[in-house]
Parts: sequence; C-alpha cells; structure tokens
Amino acid sequence: MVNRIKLANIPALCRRSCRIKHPERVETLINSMAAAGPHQLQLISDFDFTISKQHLADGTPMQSSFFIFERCASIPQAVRERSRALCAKYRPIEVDGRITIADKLSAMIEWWSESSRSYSGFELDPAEIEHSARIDVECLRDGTPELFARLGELRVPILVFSAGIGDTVAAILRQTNLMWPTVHVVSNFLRWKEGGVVNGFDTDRMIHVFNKNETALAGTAYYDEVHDRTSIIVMGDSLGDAGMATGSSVASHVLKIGFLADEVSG
Amino acid sequence: MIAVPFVLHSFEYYAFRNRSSVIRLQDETNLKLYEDAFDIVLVDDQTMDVPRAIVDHIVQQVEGDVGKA
Repeated sequence: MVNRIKLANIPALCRRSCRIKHPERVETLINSMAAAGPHQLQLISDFDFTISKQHLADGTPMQSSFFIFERCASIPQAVRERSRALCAKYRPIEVDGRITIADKLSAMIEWWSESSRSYSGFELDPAEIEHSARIDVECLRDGTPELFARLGELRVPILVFSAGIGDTVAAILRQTNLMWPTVHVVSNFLRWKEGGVVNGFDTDRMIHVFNKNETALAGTAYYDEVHDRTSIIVMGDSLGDAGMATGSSVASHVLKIGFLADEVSG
Repeated sequence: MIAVPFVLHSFEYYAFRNRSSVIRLQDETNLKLYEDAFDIVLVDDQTMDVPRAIVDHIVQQVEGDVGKA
C-alpha cells in the first residue's frame, strides 16, 4: 500500500530556498515515482557546481573540472592562458539570461571546439590527472556521499553527465569514493596519441552545456542499462541541464532539480 | 588523502566574479527562467538535502515506513 505524500510533509521542500512553481505537479511526480519504486528510478546529474558546490560556506567559489585539470604541471602555461581567455570570452554568453539558448548554441560549440584544439600536442601522464583531482569532500555538496551510497545500495543507476573534462570528473569521483558500480560518466574524455601526447577530446559527439540530452547517450553502455527505467531525477546548475532527460523514450516521470547560485548575496 | 585546495585564484577568481556580475544584473530574469525550466529550484543551497529527501520518500513509500522518517 503506497501512502500519498504531501510536499508539506517533506521539510527540505518547505525551506525558503526551495522554489516550486507548480507544487501540485511536483507532488504528483514524487507520488508517481514512489508508486513505480526504486527499481524504475535513475539519477542524471551534472557535475560541475551540481555535485561540486557552487561555493564554500565562506563564499569562496569552486573550480570547474577544466581548472582542476589544468593544475597538471605538464600542461603548458600557454594552454592555461588560452583556456582562461576562452572562458572570459564565452562564459558570460553561457550565463546571460537575455540571450536565447539558440543564440548561445553556436558560441558554446566554438568554445568547446577551441578548447579541444587547445588541449593538444603536449605530453601528460594520466597519474597527474589523478593527483590533481585529490580534493576535499567538503568541496562536494553536503550529503553527496550519503546520496550516492543510498542509490548505490539500491542499485539505482547514476549518470554523471558532464560538459567538463571526463578524465578529471571520473578521477574526482574515484578520489571521493563516489564511483559506485552503478555510476557512469558521460563527458568529454581526452584522446591520446602515441607517446602519451594529448590530442583533444575523444569524442565525435562533443558534449557542451546545451546538447546534454539522451540523444547524446544513444549507443553507450549506460543507455542500454537504463533505457527502460521510467522515473528520472535530473539535477543541474545550468538551464541546459534541464533537458538532460530529453529524448528518453520511456521515461514518464521526470523530476528536474535546478541549483541556482544566489549571486545577490555572493 | 591529501586535500588539494579547491578554490579559485587570480584570473580564475576574476573570471568567476565577472560571471557573477553578469548574473547579478539579471538575477530576477534568471530565477524566472530557472523556475520555468526546473520543477524545483534551490537558491544558494549547497546541499543534497532535497534530492536525498525525495529519494528517501520514494524508497520509504515502498518499504512502508514513512512514519519512521
């Protein structure tokens, strides 16, 4: 017998920081997902500023996986400077609420394509990536290990769907003991040439912030594992993340959770 | 495990603050867009409390022990 849940009975959803435009819809979604059960559930989450915090308690902002990757000592300084110049050029476009997603799209493709070209032609030991990814668990959202453990024990698939650098994202998940067997990372992984030379991203389907959806997952092992699961919780910090379950053929219950930084008080 | 500082420095910090300035000017616009795009919007919430609570209720409903939560 499934008891109907009221949002008012879930304290975390009653906080002032929790904004729900259509409470009845959310209540219905949660009840539908509860009725379907955990065996029908999957979690799709962004990584940067979603699994990682947006800032520490003292307001100190976090680094993205790109910046963490660039801690590797073997990366030439010119590559770092190029990356920062690209960030300064394109990041304001990504977050500008006055620009439509359609107009942002071409800029994001340019950004990721230029980044891929920039990360090319230098030797790098993969062990450096592991070392650079040694972060304090405090840099992840409070309760992240508990959430992953809960889902891992229930064998609920977790897709970490990142437009960042997959090598770094996966290394951070390993270093913080979040890489449960049910965790999959779909992201931009580095391509390597002979001699340990980095050669851009290893993907013909580059993942940027506005093409993260299930069509980008077709043909992956993760897709095969979860394509018949009907309940999806989606988490992200970018408007583009809201579409991460788009294209799922059978999902009937999709609950989207967005993390918005409070820039006014920042 | 050695914890490497996970914060921004110099230009990285400037770039982030510059991004913040962009958002600050359009704060209300962004909140409205987020509320349109997401079912639940968490403003400056650096926890997984909400996802955990939802997962707990999905699981506990099946286990029939909501009253114990």
